[in-house]
Amino acid sequence: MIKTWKSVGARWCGLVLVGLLTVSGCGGVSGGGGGVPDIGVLGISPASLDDGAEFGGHPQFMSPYRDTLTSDEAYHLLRRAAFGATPDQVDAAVARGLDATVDDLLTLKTESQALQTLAESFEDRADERWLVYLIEGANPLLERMTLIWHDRFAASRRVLAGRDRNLGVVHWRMLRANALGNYRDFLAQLTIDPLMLIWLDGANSPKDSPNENYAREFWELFTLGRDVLYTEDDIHESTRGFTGITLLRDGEGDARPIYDILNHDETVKNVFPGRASAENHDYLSIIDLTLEQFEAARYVAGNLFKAFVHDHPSDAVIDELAYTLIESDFEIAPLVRKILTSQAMFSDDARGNQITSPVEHLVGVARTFDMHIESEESQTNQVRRLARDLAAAGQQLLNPPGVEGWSEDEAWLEDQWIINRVEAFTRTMEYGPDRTAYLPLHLLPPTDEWDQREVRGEMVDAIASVFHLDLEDEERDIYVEVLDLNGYRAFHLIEPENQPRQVFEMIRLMAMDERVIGR
Amino acid sequence: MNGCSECRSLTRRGLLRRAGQAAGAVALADPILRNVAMTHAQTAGGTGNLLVLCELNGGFDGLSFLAPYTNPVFAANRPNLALGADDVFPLADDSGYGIGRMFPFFNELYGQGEVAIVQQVAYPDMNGSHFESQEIYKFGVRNLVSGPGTKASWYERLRQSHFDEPYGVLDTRSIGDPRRYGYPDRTYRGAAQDAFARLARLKQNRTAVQQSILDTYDKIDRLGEEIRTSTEDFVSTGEATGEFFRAAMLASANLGTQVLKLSYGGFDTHAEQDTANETLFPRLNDEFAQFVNDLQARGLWERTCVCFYSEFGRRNAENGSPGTDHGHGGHMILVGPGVSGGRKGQNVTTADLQEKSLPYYVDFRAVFSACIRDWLGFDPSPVFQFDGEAYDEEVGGELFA
Repeated sequence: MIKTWKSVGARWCGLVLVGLLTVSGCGGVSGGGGGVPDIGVLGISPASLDDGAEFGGHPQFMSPYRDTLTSDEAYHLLRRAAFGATPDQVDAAVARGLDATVDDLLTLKTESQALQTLAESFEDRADERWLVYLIEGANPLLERMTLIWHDRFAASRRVLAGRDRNLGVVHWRMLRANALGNYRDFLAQLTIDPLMLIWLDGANSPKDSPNENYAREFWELFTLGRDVLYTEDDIHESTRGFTGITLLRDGEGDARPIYDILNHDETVKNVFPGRASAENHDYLSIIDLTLEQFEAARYVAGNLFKAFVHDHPSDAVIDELAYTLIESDFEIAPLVRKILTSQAMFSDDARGNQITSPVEHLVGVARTFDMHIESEESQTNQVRRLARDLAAAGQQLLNPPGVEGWSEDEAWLEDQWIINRVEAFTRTMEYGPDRTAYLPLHLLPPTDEWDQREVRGEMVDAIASVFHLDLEDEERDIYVEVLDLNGYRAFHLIEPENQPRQVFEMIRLMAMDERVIGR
Repeated sequence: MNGCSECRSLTRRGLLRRAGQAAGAVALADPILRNVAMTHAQTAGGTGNLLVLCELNGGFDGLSFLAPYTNPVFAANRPNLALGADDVFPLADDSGYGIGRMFPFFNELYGQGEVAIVQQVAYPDMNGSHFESQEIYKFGVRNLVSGPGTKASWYERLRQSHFDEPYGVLDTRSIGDPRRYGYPDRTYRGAAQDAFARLARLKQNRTAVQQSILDTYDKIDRLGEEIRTSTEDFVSTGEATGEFFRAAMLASANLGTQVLKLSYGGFDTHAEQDTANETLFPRLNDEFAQFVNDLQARGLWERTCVCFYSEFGRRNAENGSPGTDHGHGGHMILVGPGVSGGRKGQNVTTADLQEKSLPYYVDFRAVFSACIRDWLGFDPSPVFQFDGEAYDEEVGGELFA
């Protein structure tokens, strides 16, 4: 049996599973790891898997990866899907398996009333409101998806003045409501979102002199990609289709969109003449027509794959994902599930190839340390300061630089932005089950041991393990020296009141490790 | 800060640094270090002068800087806040106007012909939001909805087009105290800052993306080291404080900087304006005076021009608090030995005072363009000329001698 398995699968299947009879899962035709027998039933714990078996997925296959993850694989998944994970959450993912973990991530839980009230206290400052959910919300995958869509459908609240200020919050709520919903419905709500209508002039496009801005970005950035399929003529035509929407401002509430047929250009428009017949388009039919083009599904598929996995999916991969989207009639969750459970997701190509944005980085570390916005100071000033620091680090939520969103990966490596990320880590709040202030004491050796010589190394190892970092001896020594005041005095001999500062510096430095800011 | 200099030199880092200095050839072989090892040199095509941009946040009240104190409409509009004869230094060339008494240093330089007040400056289609108006001044475009204009500040664009040097543009806000610039470690003995650098250089076999992160960390450390060591020995001729102190350190650091940006805040005086200005104005005046003094002591003032500007001016009439609300036109003030002194733009007339706010006659980009062209010696057109961003180049006078 072992000899018939193909290369990749056989590598570890052969080493560990001698004697197992249920081979159907192992070494599938495509040569990948495939599904495996339920090891738990046979009493072999995941920890006994050979390390070489990790991340053995094929980078261009969307077939499911094996259900049992190693600890590092689970951490990798949760970093990309949920920003970060506490050691307990990693263990739970390993125990549950890949499918159940992704299921759980996709299942939306109700946020607590306390959290909602806290978020609302930030009023129209949508970035601060969002930070509350990003740090403590029960649905991190939803938040991650919302961030991805916000970057894709980038709109900034800096164009809002006076009474319209709250439209940033309205826009953000719309993004969250649709982030794991139906893509078609999403585009419809996006088109009539008040902030979007102001941002790209959709509300200022009368039928006698329509404005092309939204129609152009709708295809160029939002749904098809630059110069894919559409021509300038198509834009002229679809612009007329997008007319008819204006903003109504009355009474006390937020401005709301209204569709008025008298404002709509009721003539026939010829959009994608090679592929469709002319008709009297409105914004909904243009959305439908766009989604009928295979290129549209490919665009979403490619973007989501790149967000989670790597930046060089083959055409076959994109096609396969596009079909997944189409077959579910553009439900987003099945596509996300397929990506997160795929072999490609757990391939070597999917490691160390991304640089987190300032928000993802901070939130990831906060979640890994089980940070809570508990004290009054945290619930007011610290959230505000954190939002400002993140803006200074290059990412102010709800205020992207332009309609093309933020520039990714290496573009985050501006000197001052990096320095400001380090500063942002000073916005400590409360950590762990006991809500300790300033330091995640629940992850560290107990404080009454801090006068013992061994505690220095133990501390460094503890934090490194939380970040799943394999430190070389020289690295470890450098971190210990940080605790030791740059080699001036051993940590355990420092006055107790001065020790926390050194621990904080060590932790913050490790949070800037290229494997923590990168993933 | 980081302990005494002897203690500093005992760190591993200090030893390495001293070893590096002995091997000067090594330093020059590194492209980054070579750039900064040069003493300040003339940039190709430029004059090598320094332009200091001092942003006054909140909406600086031009009428309290240069007051039309004899104009009855001015007094009628601001029964509590209008400056009177006792509150100004009358201009020698026009006694109908005076510089506020809380700006004695500015007045002294005005008398020497080193202050150009460009009056009633703004941009078309007023935007009364601080946030947006500051961004308009920062990006140098009226339309903030993306496009090439909002990728970087206008002075960053200037640097990228004309003098692409690591320290070409420095901002005191992002640098903070230059003597501590770099990895923000405030602990005794700078352990984390040291470790940051060593870790960046230690690691091998990283992915391409991870390596680019480490390269950035290394660069921050090396350049940070340069800024720190260039400013650590700065001694003021007096008691320098505030943002102008940091600016003086950076200007004296001999790093090839051509644009230095700093900001002072608090000018959004919606209420109790007179009380607020009693703190704001003298502080600005005195810290600026010390800055000039420090630059003069180092022979740097001759090649420096400071440009004060604000996102908008304030209303002609006071409100009930008494303060003033957001206005439109404000004054941009250029100071320096190379400046052609006097009033530029449009003098404030009775008709102007009868509007809700001072109108705008001069586009702020025309003033910045003049600074780029006539003070820094570069062609300003790549910086501000974009589709849909036309503006009038007229500034109403010669700004530079």
